[in-house]
Amino acid sequence: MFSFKEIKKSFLISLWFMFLTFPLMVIKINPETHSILWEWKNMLWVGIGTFCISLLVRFYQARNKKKSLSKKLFFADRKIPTSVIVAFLFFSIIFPFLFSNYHVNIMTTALMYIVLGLGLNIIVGLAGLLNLGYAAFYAIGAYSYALLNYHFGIGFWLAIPIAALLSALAGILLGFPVLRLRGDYLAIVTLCFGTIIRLILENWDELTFGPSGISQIPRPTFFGIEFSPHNVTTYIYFIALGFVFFTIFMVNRLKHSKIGREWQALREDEIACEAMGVDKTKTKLSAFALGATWAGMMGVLFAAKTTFINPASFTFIESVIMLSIVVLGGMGSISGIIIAALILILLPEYLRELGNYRMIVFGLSMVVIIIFKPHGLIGNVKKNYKTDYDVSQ
Amino acid sequence: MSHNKILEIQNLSMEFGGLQALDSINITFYEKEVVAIIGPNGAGKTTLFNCITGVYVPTRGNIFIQNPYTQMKEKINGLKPNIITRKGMARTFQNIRLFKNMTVLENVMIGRHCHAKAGIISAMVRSKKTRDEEARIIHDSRELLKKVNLVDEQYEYAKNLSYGYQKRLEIARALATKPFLLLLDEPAAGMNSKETAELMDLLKEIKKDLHIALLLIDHDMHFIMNLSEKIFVMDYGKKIAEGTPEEIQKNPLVIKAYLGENI
Repeated sequence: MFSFKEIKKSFLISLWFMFLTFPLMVIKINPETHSILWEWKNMLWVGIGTFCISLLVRFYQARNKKKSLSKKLFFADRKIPTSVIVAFLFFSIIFPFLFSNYHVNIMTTALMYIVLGLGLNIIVGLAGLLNLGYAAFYAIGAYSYALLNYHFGIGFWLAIPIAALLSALAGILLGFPVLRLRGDYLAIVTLCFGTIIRLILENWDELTFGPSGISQIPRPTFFGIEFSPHNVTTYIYFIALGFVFFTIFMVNRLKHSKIGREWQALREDEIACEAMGVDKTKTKLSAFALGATWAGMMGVLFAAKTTFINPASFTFIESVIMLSIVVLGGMGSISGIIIAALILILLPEYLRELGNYRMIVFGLSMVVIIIFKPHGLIGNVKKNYKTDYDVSQ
Repeated sequence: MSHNKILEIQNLSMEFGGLQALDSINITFYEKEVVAIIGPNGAGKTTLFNCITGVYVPTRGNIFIQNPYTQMKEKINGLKPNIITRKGMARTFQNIRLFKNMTVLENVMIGRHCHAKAGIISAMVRSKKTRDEEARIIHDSRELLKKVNLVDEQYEYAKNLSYGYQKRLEIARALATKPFLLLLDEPAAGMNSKETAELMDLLKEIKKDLHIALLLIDHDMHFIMNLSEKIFVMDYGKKIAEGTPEEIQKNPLVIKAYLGENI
C-alpha cells in the first residue's frame, strides 16, 4: 500500500513536528518549585500522531489521483438538492426561537460575514482582483451610519442606501489608480488602502472621534417602533438573514448576466477581453463598486448591532478573514462561501472551551481543508443556458 | 468583386526604443477579400496586427477603416482595442487566449456582448427587455457554435477542449463580435494536416456565408497559397512584395527573403 519512500517521508515529517512542538509540549514549568518538568511522553504521542496523520493524507491523495477527472467534476458540478435548501431555510427561520441570545448573536455575525464574503466574491472570485483592504469599505459603511446619525439623526434604514452609495464611491476611488495592476501589486495597493482608511479614522479626531470611537449608536427600529434589548437581537438576526437572501439573489443574478460574464472573462484573460470589445475600465470599476456596496451595508448593520464602533474593529485581520472566506469557499461559488463563512466565524466562537488551543485547532482545520479541497469547499457550478422560447420566430 | 476599401494603412511605422519594427507600411484592404501576410519570424507581422487592433499605438502613420455597410471612414490609430472591435474588426491570437474556466458557450457569448445594451441595473432588475436580449445572445452564440461544429461541446470548459477545437472556438468568439474584417494570427500553427484542411474548409465557408474579409498571418505555405487571393510579404518591418499567390511564388525578392526554395 505504501512504498518505503513514503513511509520514510512520513517519518521525517513526524520528527520535524516533534522538534517543532518540543518547547510547547515537552518543557513544562512548575511555578511552585521553580523547576522544569521534562514530559518526554508527550513527544512520543506527537510523533506517533503526526506519523499516522501524514500516512492518512498520503493515502487520501493517492486515492484521489486514481479517481478519474470526470468523477471529480461530477461532484463539483452537482447542484444542491432543493430539499436541503428548504431545510436550511426552515432552520434559519426558527433558529432564534430555539436558542439563547448568545447563540443568536453569534449566528448574526456569521450571517453578516456571509454577505461580506459574497460581496468580496464579486471582486476576488468573479473579477479576479485580489483585494486585501475590504474591511475599509466595511468601516466606511459603519462610520457613515454612526456619523450621519450623530450629526443629522439619520435612522438605520435611510443610512443603508447612503452607506451603500458612499462605499461604492470609495470602491471607484480605489479602482481608478489600480486599473493597470494585477495580482501581487494589486494586493499591496489594496492592503495599503485598507490601512490608510483605518489610520484616517484613528487620527482625524474632529470628524471620527479618533481611537475612542463613537458610542450609543441606535439599534434598528421597525417603522419607528423600538424593541426591548432582548427582542432586538432577534430582530437584527432577521435583518441579517434578509440581507443574506437579498445578496444571494442579487449576486446570483449578477453572476449570470452580461456584466457577470464580463467580470469572469476579465479574470481569465484581460487582453482577450479587450479584443472582444469588453470595456476593461468600466468592468473593473463596476466590480469594485458593486463589491464595496455590500460591505457598506453590512457596516451599517455592524454599527447598529454593536452600538459602538472604533477603528480597532476594522483592522487588516478583518480583511484577511473576509478573503479567507472567499478562498476557502471556492472562488466564485455562492454555496461554498456560505459554508466557509459559517465555519470561519462559528468555529472560533464554539472552540472557546478549548482555551489556549482554540487558535491551533482553528488553524489546523483550515490547513486540513486546504489540503483536501485545494479549490475550495464547493467548486463552481456550470450554468446551462436554456432558453424557453425560440428567438428565431 | 466589389472594390470598396475597408482598411487603409498609410505610412505606418512602429518603433520600440531603437528597434524599427514597422517601417512605412502602406497597405489597402478591400471588402470580402482573403489576404495573407507572410514573412520570416520577426518581420513585424504580429506588430502590424497589434497596431491595427489597437494593442499598440503606432509611432507614425495612419490607419483608417471604412465600414462597408455605412461607408463611414474613420481614423482608428490611438483608439482602445475594445472600441476598435466594436467598429467591426475582430482577431484571434497566435497563442490561444480563451477564457479557460468558462464554458464554450460563455466564451462566444462574451464576443456577442459588445452589441448588447444591458448594464448593471438591468442585470439586477432583469426586465423582459434584458431577458430577450440575453436569449438573443444565447441563440446567436449557439448558431455560431453550430457553424464551427462545436455545439456538442457547448457546456464544456474551454480548457478541456483539444488544440484544434480551441482554435475553432477562438474563431467563433471573434465572429460573435460581427466583424467585417477578421484577423487571424497564425490559425494553422501547431495543427496536423487533417486539422489544417478542416480549418481551410471552415474559413472558406465563413467567407462565403458571412461575406467578411479575412486577414491571415501564417507560415504554412500550402495553407496560405490555397486560401488567399492576395499576399503581402514583409521582411525587416518593410513590405517587400505584394500580389496574387502565383506572382508571389515567382518573385525573386520573396524567394530570397523567405521561401528560399521553390514550392
